[in-house]
Amino acid sequence: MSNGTLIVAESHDGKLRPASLELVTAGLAAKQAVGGSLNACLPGAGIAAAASELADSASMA
Amino acid sequence: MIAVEHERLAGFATDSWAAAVEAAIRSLDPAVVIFAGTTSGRDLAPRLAARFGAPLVANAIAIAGTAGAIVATRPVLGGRVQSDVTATGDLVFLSIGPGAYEKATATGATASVTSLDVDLSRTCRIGFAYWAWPPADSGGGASLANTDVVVAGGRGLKEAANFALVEELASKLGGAVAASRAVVDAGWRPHHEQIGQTGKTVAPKLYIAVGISGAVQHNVGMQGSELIVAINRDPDAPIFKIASFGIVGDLFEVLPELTRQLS
Repeated sequence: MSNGTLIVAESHDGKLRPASLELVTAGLAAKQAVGGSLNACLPGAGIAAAASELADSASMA
Repeated sequence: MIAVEHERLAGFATDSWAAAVEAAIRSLDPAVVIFAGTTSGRDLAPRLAARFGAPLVANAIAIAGTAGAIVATRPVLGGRVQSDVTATGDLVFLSIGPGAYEKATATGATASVTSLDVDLSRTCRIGFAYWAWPPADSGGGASLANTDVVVAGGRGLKEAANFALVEELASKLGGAVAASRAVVDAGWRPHHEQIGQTGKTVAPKLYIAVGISGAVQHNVGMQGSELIVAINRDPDAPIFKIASFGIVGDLFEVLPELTRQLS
């Protein structure tokens, strides 16, 4: 059984791209529809700062 | 959340990013995967959907339904009609339209970040050549894709040289210059500045439309903007229907005054 919602976030030059925060809102809408948890995937190099900004933006698993 | 840190993921490259996202999906087994309405998001979404043999609804502006039957709303016919598309299956892929959703703000809660190691040694670094081309896109001024302010000019400017007024205001606001199709077709401005159905879709915090009547083909490319200011001589111009603030007047008086007041 599959579970939850996954958003694919993006960073640019070590910063979280603004579109990723729109994705969080869309992800919360999808989570409401399908249940389960909201998770995010952030690929990149040198992404620690972007990852923590994204982690602060919503309660995710 | 999952961070996939790898030197091959520095800057967007289709192959390595697709492999990283594929690994994240296999590890989490989600019911829905959502991509941003960015160039890279739109590149990855169909690729990943094909790899998993799963449906993709692109450019969603609303998401509802239930697990196994996601209902995504997307604009069709240049945004004149909204269509509800039901995607069925254990795994559904979506991409969202630029500006369709508000940005999430900090909630006080912090998600835990785990890292996922992915073997990318067999992926190639060839990304999009067109990110670096044409170079004019990144030369001077702010880039259209990442700016908070866009000042767009249309046929009301009467001739190419008058775009200097638009450039002055854009530079005063730290924003980017954009153009309507009419003036790009006329050769006044390069195509990479064109907003609308056959150009770019932008959703900045502030979009100033100068001498643009607001044909639906233009408006679909900017109606997600947070604040739209329209300057036009014609009080019946359709741009005023979607504008947050409208200035009915001669742009050759209004623009220099606006730039002067901001100085």
